[in-house]
Amino acid sequence: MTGELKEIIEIIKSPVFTSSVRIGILLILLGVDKITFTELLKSLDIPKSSLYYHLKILEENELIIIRDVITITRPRTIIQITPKGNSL
Amino acid sequence: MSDFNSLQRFIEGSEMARRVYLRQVRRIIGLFYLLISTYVPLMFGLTLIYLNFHTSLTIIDPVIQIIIYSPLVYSIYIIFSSILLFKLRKIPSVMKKIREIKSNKPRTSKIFYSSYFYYFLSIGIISSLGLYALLVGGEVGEVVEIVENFLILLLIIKYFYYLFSLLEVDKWDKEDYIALIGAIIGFIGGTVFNSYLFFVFSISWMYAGLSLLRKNW
Repeated sequence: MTGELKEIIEIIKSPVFTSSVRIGILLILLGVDKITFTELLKSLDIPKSSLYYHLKILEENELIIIRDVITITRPRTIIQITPKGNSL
Repeated sequence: MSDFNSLQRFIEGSEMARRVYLRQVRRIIGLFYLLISTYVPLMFGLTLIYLNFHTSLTIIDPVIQIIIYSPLVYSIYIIFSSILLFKLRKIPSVMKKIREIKSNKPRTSKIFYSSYFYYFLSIGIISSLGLYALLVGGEVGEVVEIVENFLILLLIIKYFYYLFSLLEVDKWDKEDYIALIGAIIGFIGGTVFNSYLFFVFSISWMYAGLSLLRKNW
């Protein structure tokens, strides 16, 4: 096993990443920086309450920021990765 | 908690990320097709206005002339295309990293196969063609410019398929075939036979773009 893999497994072992959905959300945000709640819901195909729960845990651990923004069409919830989340 | 379980969760998470990336890539490709498809009709429309009304519209005449004969519109398209492609910049590196972790093999760098090598080679060829078109001028210059634009589009399409291979897409969508065939017919037919055939390129890209956006928005 390479050192990098060991390091990643150690990170995944932390309580924040006991769910694959949270790992998935963080990986998504590493590639796209920010995404809307609706888009994430459509793509992940999980219940709204479940997604909200996972997002709250990531937010409490300062890995993501959730903010509401007003756009031309309608208000949207944007999820953005933090520098701490990026550093993982 | 075992290492196996942790790795399993990582694999499940990376599959979710792959699905979202694919959707994102498809959407950006749709927007790109749609943006590029408007270039030929726009330039055609502006040229038509200039040629048919240039005696009656004396005030806006010079403005249209500048728009048509300067690289202004072309530059705007380049800027917007770059903004779209820039949005995808992080996906390849994250997918490569995920692939390395899943296979537990670190990446070996080979200069001749690296993306940087292709990037600089492409820039070199396109710049040389652009310079050659500028130096030669006339009809030959125009043909070289068309070849250059065609090459740019092919390189961008190649980049999209490189992203698809990273995202483990083994089957092209019908929109991709339509866009590729439309570009080949439009550019070759438009250059060799009749310039109206450029519209085949525009129409096919417009259809491909709208269809991709409808599916992935």
